[in-house]
Amino acid sequence: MNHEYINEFNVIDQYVLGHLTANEAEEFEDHFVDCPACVEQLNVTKNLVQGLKGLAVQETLERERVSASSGWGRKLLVPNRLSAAIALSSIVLVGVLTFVGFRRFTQLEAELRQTRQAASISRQEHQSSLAATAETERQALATRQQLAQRVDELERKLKEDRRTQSSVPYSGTSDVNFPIFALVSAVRGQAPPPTEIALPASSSRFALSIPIEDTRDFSVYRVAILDQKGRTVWRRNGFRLDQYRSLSLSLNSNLLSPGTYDLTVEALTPPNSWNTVGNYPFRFNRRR
Amino acid sequence: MFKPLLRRMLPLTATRDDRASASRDSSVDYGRLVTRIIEGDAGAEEELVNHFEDAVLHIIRRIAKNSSLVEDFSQDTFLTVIRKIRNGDLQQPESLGSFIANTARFHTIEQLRRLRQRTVSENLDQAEDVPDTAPNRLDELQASEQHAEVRKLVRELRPRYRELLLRFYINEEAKAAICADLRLTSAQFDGVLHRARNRFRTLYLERKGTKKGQHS
Repeated sequence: MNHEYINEFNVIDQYVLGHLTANEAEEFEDHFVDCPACVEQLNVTKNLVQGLKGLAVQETLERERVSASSGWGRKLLVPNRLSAAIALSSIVLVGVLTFVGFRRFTQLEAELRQTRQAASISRQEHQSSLAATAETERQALATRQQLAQRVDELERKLKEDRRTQSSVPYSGTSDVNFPIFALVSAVRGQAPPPTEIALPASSSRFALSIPIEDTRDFSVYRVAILDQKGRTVWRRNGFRLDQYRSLSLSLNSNLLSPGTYDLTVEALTPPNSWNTVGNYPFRFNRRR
Repeated sequence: MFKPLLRRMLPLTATRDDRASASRDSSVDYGRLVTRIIEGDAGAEEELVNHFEDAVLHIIRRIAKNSSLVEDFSQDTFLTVIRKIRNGDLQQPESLGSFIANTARFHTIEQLRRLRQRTVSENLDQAEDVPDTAPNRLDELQASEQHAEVRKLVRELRPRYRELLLRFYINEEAKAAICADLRLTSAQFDGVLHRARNRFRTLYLERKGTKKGQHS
């Protein structure tokens, strides 16, 4: 056996691993007993193999020890990469859904709050409106009552005048049975319907009672009647308030044609200015 | 008389390898050595042991496969060889190596046979204590150092070559099969082993503070 053979067939490795037959081993031994180089190679190879086997055993034992100590924890917490990925995805999804749901809830809450506020405001406005309407109706009722009272007073006065004038010859200038109509002032900002004046066919004259809403005391008033086109069809100066804070006037029934008119009252403000203190729309017609 | 001499021998360690390697010389004059031994030269006996002890240990280990018995058998071998040389039983000094190898083999086989017979026939109470084959502290230390060197070597190798080493020496797979799997030629395979052994030798000797050139 020579070195060429030994190298070609890895005799040293085979000898160390025990893969040579008895004869081959003896033949090699007879060679290396006289070959320091092969003995040295044998020593190195044997130590290398021993070291590799020892290292393999040591690392196997360490792996088994580590695997045994962490096996349970790993199985409970992170079974495998797929489960970890699924768990992580689930957590992310729940987080996103929670965030979106919370945002939506917050929005709905804000909308509900706004709606409630709007409803509260509407209720308040409605109540204010109702209160205003009730106040207007109360005032209208009071005015009607005053007018009715005024009409009764005028009728009593007329009867007294009639009795007083019963001995005076008929002058043709007055009609005992002419009707009296009470007008209603148009309040600023509100336009009441025109007072209906349906004059009987037999009446040649009629009277108008004009309540003055303005509480200021003026010395003189003037009254004007304007038609639909704004033309003055009648005017008179020198009126004064009676005890009911009203003005009274009588008109010839032939003065007005059927239609809608506007009666304005102006008061004299010193030194020489006239200011409107009331407007009284009415609709004139003759009954047949 | 040779036992004290042999007991001075260190166990099979790197230092002994170094000492043996340092003194081992392929040009030893076997004839002169035998003559000196016959003349009673103690130095010649020590020189004989130093020169052949590694080879003898390898031979005995192949047969006995037991580290403790290997040491004992090695000592017995050299005692037998020296006795025979003194007695003039070695007719051809140039075949000293073969003589020592055969003595080692025959002695080991004989001792193992006797041990087997003794184990079967003797009363257990009278049986000799079975030597403790567990590694002692020195062996454990040597193994730990050996692992460190091997670990360093393995880390230096490429994964392919690491696999080659482990499959060949640990799994003891056939060279042809490994070459086929790793797509290596026979020469490449031998080259990897050669480089691994040389590198290991370097690390091995560095630990012992001795540098040797590569030996092919």
